[in-house]
Amino acid sequence: MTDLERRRRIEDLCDAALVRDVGARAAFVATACGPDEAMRHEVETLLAHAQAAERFLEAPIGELAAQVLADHHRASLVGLLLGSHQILSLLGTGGMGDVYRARDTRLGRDVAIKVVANVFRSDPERRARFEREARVLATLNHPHIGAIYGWEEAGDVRGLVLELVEGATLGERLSSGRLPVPEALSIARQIAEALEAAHERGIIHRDLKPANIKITPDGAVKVLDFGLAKVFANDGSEHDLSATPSITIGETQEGMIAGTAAYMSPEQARGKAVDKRTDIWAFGCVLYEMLTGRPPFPGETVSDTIAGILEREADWSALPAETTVSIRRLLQRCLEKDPKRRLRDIGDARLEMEEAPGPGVSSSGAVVKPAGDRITPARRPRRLASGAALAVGLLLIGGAATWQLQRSEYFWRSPLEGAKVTRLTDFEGGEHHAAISRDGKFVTFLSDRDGTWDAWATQVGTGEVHNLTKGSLKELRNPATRTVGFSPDGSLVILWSRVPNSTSGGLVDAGWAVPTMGGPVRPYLKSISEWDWSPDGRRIVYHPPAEGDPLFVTELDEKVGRQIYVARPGVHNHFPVWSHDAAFIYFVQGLPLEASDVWRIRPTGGEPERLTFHNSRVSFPTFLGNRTLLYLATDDDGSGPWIYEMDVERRVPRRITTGADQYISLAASADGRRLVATASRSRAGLWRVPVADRVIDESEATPISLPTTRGLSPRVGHGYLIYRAPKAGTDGLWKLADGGVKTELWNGLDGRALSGPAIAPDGQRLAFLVQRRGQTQLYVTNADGSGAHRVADTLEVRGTPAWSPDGQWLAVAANRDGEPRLFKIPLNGGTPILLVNEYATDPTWSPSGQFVVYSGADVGTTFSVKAVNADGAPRPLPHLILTRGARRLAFLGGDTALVIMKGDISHKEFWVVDLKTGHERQLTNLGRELTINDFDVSADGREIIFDRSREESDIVLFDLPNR
Amino acid sequence: MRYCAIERVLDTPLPGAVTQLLRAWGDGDDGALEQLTPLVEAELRRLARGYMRRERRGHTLQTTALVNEAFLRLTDARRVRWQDRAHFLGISARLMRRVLVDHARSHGYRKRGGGAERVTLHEGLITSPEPAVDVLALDRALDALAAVDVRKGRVIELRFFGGLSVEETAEVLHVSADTVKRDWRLAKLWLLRELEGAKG
Repeated sequence: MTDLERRRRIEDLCDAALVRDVGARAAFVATACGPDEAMRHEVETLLAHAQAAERFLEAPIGELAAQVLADHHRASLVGLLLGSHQILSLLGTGGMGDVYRARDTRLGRDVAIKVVANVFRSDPERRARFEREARVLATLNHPHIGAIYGWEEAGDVRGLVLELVEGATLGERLSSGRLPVPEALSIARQIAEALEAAHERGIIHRDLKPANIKITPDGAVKVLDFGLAKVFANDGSEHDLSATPSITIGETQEGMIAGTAAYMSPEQARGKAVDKRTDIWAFGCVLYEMLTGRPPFPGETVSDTIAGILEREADWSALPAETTVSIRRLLQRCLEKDPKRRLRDIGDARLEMEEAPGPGVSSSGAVVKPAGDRITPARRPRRLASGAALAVGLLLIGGAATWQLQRSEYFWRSPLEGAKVTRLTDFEGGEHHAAISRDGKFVTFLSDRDGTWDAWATQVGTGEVHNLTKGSLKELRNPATRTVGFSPDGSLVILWSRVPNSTSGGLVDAGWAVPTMGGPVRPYLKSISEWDWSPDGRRIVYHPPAEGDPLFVTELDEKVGRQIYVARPGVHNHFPVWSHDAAFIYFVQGLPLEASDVWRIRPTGGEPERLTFHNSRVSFPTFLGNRTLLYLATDDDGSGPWIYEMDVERRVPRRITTGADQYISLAASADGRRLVATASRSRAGLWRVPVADRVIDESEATPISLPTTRGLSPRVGHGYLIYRAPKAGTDGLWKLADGGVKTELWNGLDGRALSGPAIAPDGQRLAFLVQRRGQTQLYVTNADGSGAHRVADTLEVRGTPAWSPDGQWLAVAANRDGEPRLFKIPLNGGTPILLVNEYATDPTWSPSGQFVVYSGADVGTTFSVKAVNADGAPRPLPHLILTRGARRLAFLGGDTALVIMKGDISHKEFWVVDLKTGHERQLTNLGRELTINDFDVSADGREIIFDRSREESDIVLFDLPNR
Repeated sequence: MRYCAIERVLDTPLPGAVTQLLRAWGDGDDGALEQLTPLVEAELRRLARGYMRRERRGHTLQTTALVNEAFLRLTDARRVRWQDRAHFLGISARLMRRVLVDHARSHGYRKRGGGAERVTLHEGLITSPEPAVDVLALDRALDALAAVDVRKGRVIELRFFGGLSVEETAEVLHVSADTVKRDWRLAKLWLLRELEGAKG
């Protein structure tokens, strides 16, 4: 008999015996085993426990298991002496171990000791690492960081000796709800200072959360446990979980996962390498929780929490209404899932919060516009959903009209709700102008990834992108028009670029086609600026590059199109698009990038009808189905562009995007299930270059250190600079004295500063344009920002003002009969005088005061520079045609040398033109990396001060849920 | 502090990660078990805490209820197979055993300054009419049982520590319910004898 057979036999005998009466068992076993005494002994010793076995292990351990699972108690060390530290009491249990209050018997002070099992007692390498890390952390000495004094060990226990910080943790404070905004910001500022100090030393917290932040009784903040996550981390080497000593493992992991999961960054959750941006994420989580009372990614379970961190957007509508736009943006930048797109430096957060209006911070008493107002549209349905009972009640009480209203509000949902968002491009550089094929399978877009703006294509889902044009087409990028598209069957990518015109010498629009899967670029519908195919592919609507952008509709077999509409000269018609039922053609009419709206017209012509009333930068209309129009628009405060939605029957525009991303292109597939957009954000700063006899290159440009995070539109005064800087989602004016002293001259919350100011010749006053409640107004203030008053309030001003050298006049463009003309405004309070009675904008006064140069009407992507004498007589200038985009002009020294910007729309260099001879000379070669928007020339004519921005943009795909 | 291990655990697509890990483990990937265990444990602990907060005294919690709830929360119900649940139950039972043993060990450590070995589970926890079970001794006896008969060890682990029914145990072990009952009967006899021997 083998062992196995023998065991089986024993078991069979036991089983057989058990069904017999107790008294009969012995005899049965004796008979069955016969002479095998060993077997009989075996069976009998087992059967001896038969009675005990009936109850043995039968009691459920559920309650017990639950208690043990829920129980956090570990071995208490109270009363022990750990080195020179007498353990006094248990302060708390944390993810990494218990914390005790202890008495340092040598120094006579109380400390906190964080105790962990000495799991690395036998591992010299980990032990050395622990000590090395602890030593680094011990060098951190900052008023807002809990100090690390050293470590002690005794037997199985090792303890880190820490500064004892009295007071409640932020977590305890938050257990009774959210904090008032000013207090939240004050705490956040101190946390940011602590992180900044640590990051400067290369130390990352890794586990920042409310439980690790203490608020002392006098209100100071101390961040605890800096870097301890790393000190206690093992090296990740493989070893069996169950073989690890118990004191840390079960509880620690559970604590780690459940307690910190809510503050874990996406890269931590994915197990990727972490850097200081992980702390920035956690900082965002903590600030969000202080403001709302709950973490941004709450979850019922760990996996739910982590799924939220990885996939969901925080609920921005939970932020209290008094949260400023800048704090919202800061939060959004901190909680950016892609660390590459996240706020890079906690110092920026600190600056942002210092700039944010708050008690004792803002120099202005302006009431902060509740940004929640702007954000509610996209969120409204959710809030209303909870009030469903109310809607039903109204149905019963009120009439059908009430119900209709309630229903339309109640059922409105953002088209983006539930959308799956995929970033199609994650590489360096800018992207723009994404289009999607009608079947939604291909996306094409412009990217400067390879150094030039090229058209790229990708098949959705493959993750592969292909450069279709490889530098062969120039001037593909034009933010004012649609420049990429697909043929109706998706086989061709259609592009619009600008090519030199042999007859006029300028540039002319040209259409191109390239196979979507790659191939030669060939001309396609030449001399047409933009077009769109009708849904059945039998008609196209288009406009040539002519004044007033005449719209034409052509049947496929027609040779000549029929003009259905033309706008006034200077007014543009862009982005023509067919409605799905082909009943209307929608287009954007107005002044591109400035003041435009969506209109529609029948394909047969007739009076166009205006649908939107933004009077802002409106672009890229596209349809989801026949009624849902999506488009991009900037808001009154200058923020955006955002994505807007409008039911073309109901005509209620709703903003459906919020956040740090602006959207600069938009297109939908024919079935409305896919949307591609370009999400963008810009960085901008001020630079200076010398003016010399030679071309100055990039290496000689030096950045100007600013006290604000961004800077635009510099103007040079005597010993100071004035520039625009964004704050709280709008633009204000700042003065930076040569010594580095900064002053806020104009708070953007009182109206967004639209341009750099004109500085009066005596330096005593400033004039600038402000956008307020959708209106553009001209303000004059004293040089220190005081005494602001509106001038020329009868004029619909635009562009930038200019001060006459004698200080008596302001020249500025203002709309009359739908287009800008030049006026001169007497500063003594008289009536404005019309100076140029044709399209004219952006005046610059010559240093002698004899004449004013200005920009003429846009034709295609160009405009001409013209001049008028101070008395209104036209003044001839050499032929000077420049490309749209940045269009500032400034004199260099006397009346003859004018600094202009030449290049393409997004990239220009400084040139100087001799207004007598027309001779042009290039001043700079600064490269294509950054876009120059505005500049000024120093009083001595030796320097150009300019702003440069870089748009960081990516193509984003929205897979919309089926509705 | 097994920080890195957790990062590895989380380095999986969620939700559905648990389902995938269960499947991987079922397909023979032992690494998957190591990744699963902390996730399951964290969920069980969280549920247990919630239970202890909510539940009325005197109401008996079934361990399986806890485990089943954890399973539903952690897995992607649409993609789950019956084997996944069996694997999950198996992991939970093993976890519960380890947690209870760890607890007993640290409880003894606290009580006896680390010197004591024999601690009963019921001390200071609940009053129970049942004779106290020396979990540490049971754990060792179970190891001894598993050394001679793996399946019987698993039956005890699943039924006692995991709270599984006979049918669930049969499902996990791919045997008949009768086999489970017989194993259960015989294993208890064996364990009692082993425990008696250890005492003596």
